Amino acid sequence: MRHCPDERVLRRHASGPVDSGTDTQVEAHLVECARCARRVAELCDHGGLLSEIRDAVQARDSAGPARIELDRLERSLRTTLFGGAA
Amino acid sequence: MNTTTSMTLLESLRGGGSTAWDEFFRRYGPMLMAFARKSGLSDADAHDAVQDVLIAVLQQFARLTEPFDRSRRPFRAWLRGVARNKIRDIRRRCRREGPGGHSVAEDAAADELLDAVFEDEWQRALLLDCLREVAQRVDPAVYQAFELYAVHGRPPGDVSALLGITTNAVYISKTRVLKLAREIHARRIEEET
Repeated sequence: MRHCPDERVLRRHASGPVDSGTDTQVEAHLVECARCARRVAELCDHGGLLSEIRDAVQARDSAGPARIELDRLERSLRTTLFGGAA
Repeated sequence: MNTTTSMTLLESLRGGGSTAWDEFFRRYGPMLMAFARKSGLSDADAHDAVQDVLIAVLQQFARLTEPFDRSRRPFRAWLRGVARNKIRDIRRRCRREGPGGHSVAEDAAADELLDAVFEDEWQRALLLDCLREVAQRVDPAVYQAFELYAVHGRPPGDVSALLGITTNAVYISKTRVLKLAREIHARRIEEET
């Protein structure tokens, strides 16, 4: 694909399944064209999922002290329930 | 193990054994702890609440003579009920030890609030579990590029230099991971219902 695909094609690629196998030409183009690769990455960010992912990852990463407490709880429960078996 | 469906995990839990327990704890322990803390419990009470909930879950599953029937009640709603009741008990105990009392209406409103907190934490845990599955299914560099660029907002040029991949590959990583996460998330929601 020598020319950049139009917006509709990029949009379809962004919303299609991850391994459709039908967009090989588009995929090959994205490897060569930063503008289209960036555009598809933008178009893929729809429906608010990325924002929810950011929120979940931030909550996970900021749970340091709770994580330590959780590890302690896991060890304690494992010993109670399974006698410390690995 | 991350690709284990909720129902497979629950069935393994019913059979007992530490492997199912490990997976169950990894999947639900952090969200239960976050739920307990955000429900206003002290660190010590949150610890006790999570411990009691997990033990109650194991005991109840050990008693099941047949597989968990999610058509009667989805596991999520069942776990929410167990966790909410435990937290409510601890709050009541704290109130008895402190001044003042609460009306039935106030208790109902508090339950609604607890359910909303649980739902938030459940959704977060579900997403993190989806991401773990994605990370298992793609090249490590692809997943790292996604986290650095799309989640943490690092400039694509920096990510490219850091991981030794092209800038295009950074963009493509974002697309690939997000598509896969969306598919897995949709599948997991479907499994729950």
